[in-house]
Amino acid sequence: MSRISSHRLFTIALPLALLAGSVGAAESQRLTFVACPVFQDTNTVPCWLAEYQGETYFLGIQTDSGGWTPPLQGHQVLVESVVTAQPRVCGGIVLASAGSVFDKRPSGKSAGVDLPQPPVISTMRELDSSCRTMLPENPRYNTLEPRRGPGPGNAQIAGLQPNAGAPRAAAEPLKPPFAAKTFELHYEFDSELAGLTINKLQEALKYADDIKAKAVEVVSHRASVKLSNGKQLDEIPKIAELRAKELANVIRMFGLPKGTELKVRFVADAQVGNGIDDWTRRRSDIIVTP
Amino acid sequence: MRHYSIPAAIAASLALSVLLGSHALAQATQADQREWVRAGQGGVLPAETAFNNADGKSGIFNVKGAVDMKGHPFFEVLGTNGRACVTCHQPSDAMGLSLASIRQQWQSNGGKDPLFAPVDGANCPNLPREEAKSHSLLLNRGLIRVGLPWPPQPRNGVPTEPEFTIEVVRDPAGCNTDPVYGLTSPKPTVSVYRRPRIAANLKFMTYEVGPFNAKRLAMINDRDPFTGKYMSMNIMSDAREPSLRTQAISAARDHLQVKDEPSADALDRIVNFESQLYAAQVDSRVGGSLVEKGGPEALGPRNLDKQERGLGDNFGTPLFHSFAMWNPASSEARAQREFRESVARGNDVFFKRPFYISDTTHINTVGMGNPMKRTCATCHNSNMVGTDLSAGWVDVGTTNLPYARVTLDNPWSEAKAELPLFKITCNAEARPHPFLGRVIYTQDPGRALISGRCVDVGSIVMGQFRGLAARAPYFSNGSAATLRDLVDFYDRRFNIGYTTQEKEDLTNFLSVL
Repeated sequence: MSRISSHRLFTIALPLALLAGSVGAAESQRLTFVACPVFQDTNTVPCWLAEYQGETYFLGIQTDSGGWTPPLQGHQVLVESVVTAQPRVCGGIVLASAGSVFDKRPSGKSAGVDLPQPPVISTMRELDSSCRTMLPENPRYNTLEPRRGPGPGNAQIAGLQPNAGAPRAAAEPLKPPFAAKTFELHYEFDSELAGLTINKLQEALKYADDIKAKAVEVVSHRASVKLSNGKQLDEIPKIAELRAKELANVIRMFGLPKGTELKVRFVADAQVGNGIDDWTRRRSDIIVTP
Repeated sequence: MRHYSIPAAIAASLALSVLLGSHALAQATQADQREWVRAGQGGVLPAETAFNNADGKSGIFNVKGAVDMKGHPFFEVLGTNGRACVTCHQPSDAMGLSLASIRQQWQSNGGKDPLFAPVDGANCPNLPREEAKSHSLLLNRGLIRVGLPWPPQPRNGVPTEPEFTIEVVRDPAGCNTDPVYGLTSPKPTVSVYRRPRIAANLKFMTYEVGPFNAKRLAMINDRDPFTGKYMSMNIMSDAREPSLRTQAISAARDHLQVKDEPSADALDRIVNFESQLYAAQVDSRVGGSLVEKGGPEALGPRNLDKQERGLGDNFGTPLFHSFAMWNPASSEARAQREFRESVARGNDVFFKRPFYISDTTHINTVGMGNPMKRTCATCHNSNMVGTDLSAGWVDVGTTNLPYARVTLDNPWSEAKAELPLFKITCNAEARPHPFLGRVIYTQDPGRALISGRCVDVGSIVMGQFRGLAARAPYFSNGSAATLRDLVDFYDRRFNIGYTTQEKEDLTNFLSVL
């Protein structure tokens, strides 16, 4: 299946309810598309928008790192979302997460209403110099109450406290019999870096250490996304291999218990997308066997 | 020249610094004449002392008291080229190395001074030592040659496969195309040219962290092989050494040309000395004492000792604390009062003035979005030193084109480009540099020469903000001759639109740190 390189190819119309901005009727409507992200400044933090088939959508706002990952200008962005019935924010129909593992706490409010969990966002791998739209502050959109403003925050981030990294109190040791466990890491589209779910790797490695595992197996996958225009967008052919390689290197650098075998494999064929939970198939499994 | 008083303790210690050497204080009465500590000269480094620079005086504070330099491995010749650690980490330069000192040593001793050892004090080791042009990068920009193997050596036992090829596009120094020392030599080497970092305030720079890197979450931090601990990876421009101990070993090998690795005792003494040492400006030529009672608690080396490491990009624990006592300032002298008020405003600009931070790898790409609307303190967030509390290599554009400062050859000027220029071509399957794509032109690939990653091309570990007035020029490639140049770089790079007053305030603020 061929890859799609430009959002201009998306010509299949969305349901009329969406195009009309009738978000109530389209509350459960899933919307998956690739577009240039648009930066809209406000009197606090900027909004991130995207235009698709003549409509403007609100993706989220600037927040702390570790929350959602806002887009990068200079690249197109893949948006996997559901359409909400919330009032428009920064002029855009509000998109939300379709229940991804990337969900974090709300990034703030707009006009007193909590912003939803942002949609799953993937920065496309290659540059697109046309994606550079920055819009200045517009008083109409000055409705945001961000969790964090455009300057210094209100408190230190716990993970970066001076003694972060200091040894923690030992947990109760696990007792046999031990079971095999699978830990899932998820990825942005075309990315081999499982940044947002790396905690699953930590859990897997801890479990492997706790039970002195016989084997740790990495199985990486490649997936497609079904776009709202009906087309399938494949990840790059090598991505499953890159994911496996990257993860294996991290595990080797971290180190496994003596005697634990590391097995690495990948599935190069792209799993077909359904337009509903395609992000779940951009995945590596870490199987820890007693 | 106008002189200002300094605290009695420091003045007394200054007198003790006669012990440093024979010629020091006579020259120190002139602005920006530096007191050079020669390798193996002996004497005592006082517990607390101050040194002249063009903006006033910088101070150092040995928490554990005066240091007998005789027989101390930081100060003694360890290798074959007459250098010691102190050669490039001078007390009068806030434990770094200023261009003023470099030129002073050249004027005094010419090429025979150990500082100009061919191994890295020359543009390439095979150039004639006695000629100034052989050392042009050191004499003009304060740069030491760093020769790194290509491809990168395995790290933590894991082979590093580079994601890119590297070509030499321009080689004014001649070393990267040299048949003996260059990229195509029997020992393929990439020569880059970098400023020495300061060997002080190091509790803020190197420390134990968790295994996963806070900024690049899919990366494991390097471990110190001596302790097995994961380290913060914030020392050295490319973070290639995880701890002070491993840095001392590699520096002894590469810069001092030792035959044998320093003994465990010598390494202990070097690390212990560096770990108890603080350096900062203590006196401003216009602003007066920076360490007087009731003054800003960010200033002076003693306050660095008192403070703890932490995240300062917040109103609860602002990294440079408060300058409220200087705004308004109560000084009777108008010039002093105005300067102090300017410094206080500069801190506000640094801490609170937002702008669009854009196209900066390992800042915009770590979950912040590109661009983001934040302030200087977002990236320079570490309490008291202004580095990044996370592993701080960042491509802000100091070495990568199009933002790096370059000299364009032209028929009407003798000014020529001084630094090498490399073309980096990322492999088809590699993740490209997020803002420059798959073909990058750079003066120094930075962290990428260690990690082999395209995404790291041009990323350099942030340097401390302390003792700046003592150790111009700035940035890893010496491309900002003055603090004002540094401010101008950021203004231009991010289209900030600082007013003349804001630039002056920021410059003054940086000069007192």
